Amino acid sequence: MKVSDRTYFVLKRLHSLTGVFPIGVFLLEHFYTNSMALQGAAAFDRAAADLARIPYVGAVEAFGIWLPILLHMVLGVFIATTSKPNLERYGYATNWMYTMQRVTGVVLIFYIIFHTFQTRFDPAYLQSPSPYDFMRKQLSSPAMFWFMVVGILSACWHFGNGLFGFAIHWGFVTSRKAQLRVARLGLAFAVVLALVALNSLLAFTGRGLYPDWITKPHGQDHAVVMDGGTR
Amino acid sequence: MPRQSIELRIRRQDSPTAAPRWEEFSVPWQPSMNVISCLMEIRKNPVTRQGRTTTPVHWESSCLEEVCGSCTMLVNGRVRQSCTALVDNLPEGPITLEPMTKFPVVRDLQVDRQPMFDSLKRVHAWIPIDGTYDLGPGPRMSAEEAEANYVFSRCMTCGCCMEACPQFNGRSEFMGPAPLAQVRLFNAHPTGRLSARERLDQIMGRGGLVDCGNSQNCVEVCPKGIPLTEAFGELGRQTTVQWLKLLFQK
Repeated sequence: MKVSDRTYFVLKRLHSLTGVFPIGVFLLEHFYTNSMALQGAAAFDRAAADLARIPYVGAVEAFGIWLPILLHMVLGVFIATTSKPNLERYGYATNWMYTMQRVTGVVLIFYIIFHTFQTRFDPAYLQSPSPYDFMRKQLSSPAMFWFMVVGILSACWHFGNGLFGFAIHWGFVTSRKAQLRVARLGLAFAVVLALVALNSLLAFTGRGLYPDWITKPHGQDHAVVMDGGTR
Repeated sequence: MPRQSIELRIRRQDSPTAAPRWEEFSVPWQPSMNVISCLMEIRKNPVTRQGRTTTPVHWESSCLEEVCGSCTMLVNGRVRQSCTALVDNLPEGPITLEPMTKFPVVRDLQVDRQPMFDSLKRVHAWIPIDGTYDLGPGPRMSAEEAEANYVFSRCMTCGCCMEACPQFNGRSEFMGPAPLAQVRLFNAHPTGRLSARERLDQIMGRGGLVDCGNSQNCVEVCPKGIPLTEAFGELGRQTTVQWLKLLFQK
C-alpha cells in the first residue's frame, strides 16, 4: 500500500505517540489493577468490576486501547520488516536495544492477541464468577505462568526502551548525553515496572511479596482492612 | 608484535553481476604497513597463497589520510577506512577484507556510493548562493554556532554510518544517516536556513528521518566523530515544529 509522504510522516509519528499515550499509560493502569491481587481476591475482583463500570467503557476501550494498539502493531510489523539487524558485527548497547525492541514487539503481538482473546472472548473467563480465581487456576500451569512472565518482561522492556526512541523522534532530547540519560532512565523504569508486574503475577499464585515497610502506611494494616482478613 | 608475513582473506568479485569468491594472499611484513600497502604488495605479484596466479585486487583510494572516504571497506568485518587500518594495530591472524555490503559492488573492494550522493541531492545539501547579481556577504555566525556546525562539515560521505545502520538496507527506503546530518548542517547556516523548509519537506517523507530506528550504530562507527544522533534529535525537533505549523497555520 502506497501512502503519500505526509501521511507516512503522520503515521510514523502516530506510531511513536501511541506507544506512550495511550498504550503506555494503559500499561501503567493495568499493572496498578493487577497489583490489587496483592490485597486478595475480593480487592482484585472489585477493581476489575470497577473498570467495567467506567462511563462510556466501550468507547474508552475501543478508542483508548484497541485501536491504538492495532495501529501500533500494524505499523510496528512494517517497521520490523524494514530492519536488517547486524548485532553480530556491531554489538553496541544501543544496537542491542534497537534489536530487542523489535524482538519484544513481535513477542507482544502473540501475547496481546492471546491475552485479549482470553479476557474478552473466552467463555471460560467470561463465565467465571471471579476473575481472580480464573487467573489463579490458569497460572497454576507452569507453561502459562512462564508465558505470562515473558509477556510482562517484553511489555516492560518495549515501553521503557520505547521512551528513548520517543524522546529522540519528537526532538525532546538532542545531545548525546541527554539521549543516553533518557535511555538509562527508561530502562530503569522498565526494571521497576517489571518487578511490580511480576510481583502481582506471583500474588495470583499466593507467593507475592508483601513486605510491610512498602505496603503499610503508618503501621495500619490496610490489607486486613481491605480484605476482611482473608488474605 | 611484528609478524613475518601478513595473511589476507579477500572477497573478490569480477564485475557488478559476477558471483563473489574468497582468495587468500600472503605478503611480506614491512614497517608501518596499512591495508592499502598490503593491497599494493599483492598488485606487484598477484599470486594467491595456494600459488595460483590471479588478477590484481581492485580497490579505490585517494587521499590516504582519512579525509576522502573512498577506501572504505570492511576490515575484519568492521567498516572503516583501509588507509588508517594499520597492520600492526590489527589483531593477530589473517586480515579479512570485504567490500561494503550496502552499496552495489563495482569490482572486488570498490563499491558505487551513488545512492548516498543521490540522497544528498534529494535533501538539497547545499547553500543556494547563485543569483543573477551579487548577493553580497551572508549574515555573520557566532563562534559558538560555527564550532557546532563545523563538526558536521567534516563528513566525507565515506558510507561507514550507512553500512552499520540496520535501517539502511534493500528492504527499506531509508536514506541513511549521512544525508540527514547534512540537513542539520545546512539548516543551521544563516543563509542555508532560508531554505530550511525545503530540506525538512524532503526528510519528512518516506525514507526520511522518521525511518531512523535509533540503533545509533552510525555515531559509533563514524571515523570523523560526527554526532549524527544529535542531528537526528535536532531534526526531530525541527520536523515536529514544521508539522505543527502545517497543522495549525496552513
